[in-house]
Amino acid sequence: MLSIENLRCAYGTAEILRGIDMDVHVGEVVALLGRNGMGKTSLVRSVAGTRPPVVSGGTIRWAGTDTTHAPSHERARLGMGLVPQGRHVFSSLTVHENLTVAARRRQNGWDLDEVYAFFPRLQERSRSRGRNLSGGEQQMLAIGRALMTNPQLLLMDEPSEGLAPAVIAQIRERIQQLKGSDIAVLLVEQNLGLALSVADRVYILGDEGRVAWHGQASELEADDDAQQRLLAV
Amino acid sequence: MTMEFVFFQLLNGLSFAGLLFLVASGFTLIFGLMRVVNLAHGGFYLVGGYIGLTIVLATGNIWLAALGGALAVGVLGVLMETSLLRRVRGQELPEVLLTIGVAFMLGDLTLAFWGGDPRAMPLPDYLSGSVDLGFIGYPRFRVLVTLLAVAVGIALWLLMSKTRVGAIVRAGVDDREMIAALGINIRLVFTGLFFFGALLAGLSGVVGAAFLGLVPGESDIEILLFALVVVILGGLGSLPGAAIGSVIVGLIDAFAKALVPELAFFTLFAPMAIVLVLRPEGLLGRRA
Repeated sequence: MLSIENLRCAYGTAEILRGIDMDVHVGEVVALLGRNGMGKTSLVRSVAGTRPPVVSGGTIRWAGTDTTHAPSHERARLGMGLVPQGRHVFSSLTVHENLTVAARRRQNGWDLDEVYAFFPRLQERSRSRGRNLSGGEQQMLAIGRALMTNPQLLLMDEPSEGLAPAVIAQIRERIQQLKGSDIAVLLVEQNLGLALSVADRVYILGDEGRVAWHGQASELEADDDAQQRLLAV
Repeated sequence: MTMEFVFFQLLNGLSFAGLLFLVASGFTLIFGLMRVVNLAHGGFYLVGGYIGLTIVLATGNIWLAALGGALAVGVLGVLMETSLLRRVRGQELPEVLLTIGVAFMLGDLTLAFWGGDPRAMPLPDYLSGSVDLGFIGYPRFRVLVTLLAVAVGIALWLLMSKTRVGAIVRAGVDDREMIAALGINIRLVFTGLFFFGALLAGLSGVVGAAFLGLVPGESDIEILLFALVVVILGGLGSLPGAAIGSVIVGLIDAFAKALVPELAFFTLFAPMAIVLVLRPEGLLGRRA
């Protein structure tokens, strides 16, 4: 279980998160929503341990370990897998190399065959370099690459960003398939439809750097007021 | 210009290119991942040469000298990376100033330990003398340096393109933060790569001690300048770039020294200036 308590983080002197409390349990998909600039990516980066921002207060506990200030590679080894905003595939590595470069095995876990079965398109493009992939292929690769480390917590930052509807539909299906396995998913999204269709619970960040709303995805779906107040642009 | 002259200078150029590649490959590997322009690389070369020389004088074994010089400088590189460079990671100016400082210190220390007289590495009989290449004879050692450089080049290429370690390094060049977020301890990779780059500098110092001789405060600066021109021509961080740059600089150096010795520096730096103007990332470099 991921447990975040009173988390504060800052870029230089500018504090962007001012006391976040959040839990993500194994087996559930939790969506993190909010308008641009509310600190969604900052929260994901704080959990993954990539800097900036710098965590200035609070704790992040994962699988019983205090990881608040652990280096990012140690968090990954504790079972966190990052699918970052902008995909960040390794542009000069082939698809195959991207998937295997940091792979960690687990019994009955993800391996190359399983990832290729999950995203057949990646197998077709296994010898292509990251830079030559389309946006959708890069997103599949970023997800597959994280799965190859056999994470128990998958941090996905805007996987639908800039993708065609058909590709988003495929990503949605895949996230639904991940749900219910022994994996926890924290999903940052701008796409409300996608988030509501896969998430069990939702947190919305407001403009004070705090959680402005949280509850079941079905409650948010029915709550037009919250949607208008916190998400409409 | 006779055919013999051209052929002889061609061989001079290619064998010098071999030495240059040994020096430049370590330099460019370190820059490629760590973005550190290690101006102490020439100092590493010089220290490697002197340690090799000392081992040869004590044991008479040139292979032991190559091994000892390479390993000792590799360890020196690790000490420098972990005790000094790590403290200023990512700050370009302090990094460069630090490596210049270490370069001067190494120059002074070699002067204090081994004296200011030019020294040359004695070679065993089976490495000296000349080989008959049909219509001309050519120094055997220089032919072997060329072959060694080709072998090291192929080994490095295989290491970088075919192994997981190589893939990790390339992934780190593409996106350091991401490879760390996947569970790779990038600091350890930095230190390992610095060891390896310094090791190559030490090895090339032992080779260079027999090839060019050793002059403290001079050989180190000279070889550093050559290495800089090589990697700027070929593209900083690119291994094939270092190979092509070495061949270009080696050939220019050989023919210029034979034909217009008074313009040796001009002929070395003019091509670099032209490349910098027309293609700032170097012939095989990547745009930043």
